[in-house]
Amino acid sequence: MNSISSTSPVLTVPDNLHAFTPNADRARFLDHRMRQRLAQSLRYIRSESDGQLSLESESFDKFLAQLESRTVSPLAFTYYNEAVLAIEEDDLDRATRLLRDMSELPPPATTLQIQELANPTTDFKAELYVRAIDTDPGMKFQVFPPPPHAAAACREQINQALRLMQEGDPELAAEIPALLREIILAAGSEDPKAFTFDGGSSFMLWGAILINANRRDGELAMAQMLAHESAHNLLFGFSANGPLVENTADELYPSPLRADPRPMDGIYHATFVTARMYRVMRTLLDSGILSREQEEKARKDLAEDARLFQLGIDTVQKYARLTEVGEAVIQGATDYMADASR
Amino acid sequence: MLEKPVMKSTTKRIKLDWGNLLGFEQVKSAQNNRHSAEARAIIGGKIGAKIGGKIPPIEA
Repeated sequence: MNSISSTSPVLTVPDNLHAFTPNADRARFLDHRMRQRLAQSLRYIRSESDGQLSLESESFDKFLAQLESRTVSPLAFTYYNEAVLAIEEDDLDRATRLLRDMSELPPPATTLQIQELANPTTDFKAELYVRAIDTDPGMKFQVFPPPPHAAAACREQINQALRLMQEGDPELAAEIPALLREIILAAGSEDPKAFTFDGGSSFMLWGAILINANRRDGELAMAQMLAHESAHNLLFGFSANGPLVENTADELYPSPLRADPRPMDGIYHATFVTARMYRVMRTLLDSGILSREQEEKARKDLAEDARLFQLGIDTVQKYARLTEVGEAVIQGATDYMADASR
Repeated sequence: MLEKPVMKSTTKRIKLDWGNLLGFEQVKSAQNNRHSAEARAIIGGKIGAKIGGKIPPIEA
């Protein structure tokens, strides 16, 4: 899908498209491009369906027009993903229901919302959030609604982290709400032997991140978490026209960041988001707004992020077959890390 | 709740080229050999995970 539909407005590509530095205008461009690509894909599906999907033309056309003109719920991407998979299963009734429900999603609020996950076993939208994130068959995990006290404390910590970044890292503080419409608070298993999670993101949940409300570790750690998950979204935005790496998903490589061998796409993501975590700590530290205790933690985290980045970039440079975009993006991170460590 | 598909048809009524679908480009080359579950994994979510209390920190 390399061309823009004649019904879609032409987007002006920013000069700094693949730069490492956070940029809110670039994030808004990426959001617009993702929505435009989604609209094109939906038009293609309707065209190929030749009337076999019972979509009401007027309301579907209205949704497509809105999709290209204003922000949309992250769940629109999840409904679309599930509809494509339903068509592959030849379950056209399910595909029709999913696409109809997608077109009836209310528009998101104009500001970044922090919401609590509903019960995925009884609420279909909550189930979709979890299905978008929980895609690794080798690492299944449970996701629950957060306990109210944990959600309240996590919400406060997110707001503290956002305020900290507004003061000490305004570029990232502006980019995050341009990339994200929703922060979904959830909870993982408390079983010490179970898989659990700190946070999650998904291409098919563009504009949302999931955070485990039980795993709070202070506003500085939350700032890193927001830098981390928003950076995954940034990479998804860069991937609108194709992948960042050409290695296939079944080619596994020793990961410096996980005990099990991993696909290159995951190692690439981890390496980039580590550089963004380093950057937010470095920028906050250099701003002079951190307390002595926070400075101590920031220095410790910087050393660990730098070590992990080096391990990750070594693996990427050794094994990755990068696309042109993938090369440009990771080079920006590499250049930043080289400059920052001087 | 929407039910999961319970039966598969051997002939799909709508044939989609995944190269024309946002997010599915990564699986298009092997589309005919991919099941839906594999496609979901390839498009996949990114998780900062902790496993059994150990720390494999920040990978997808």
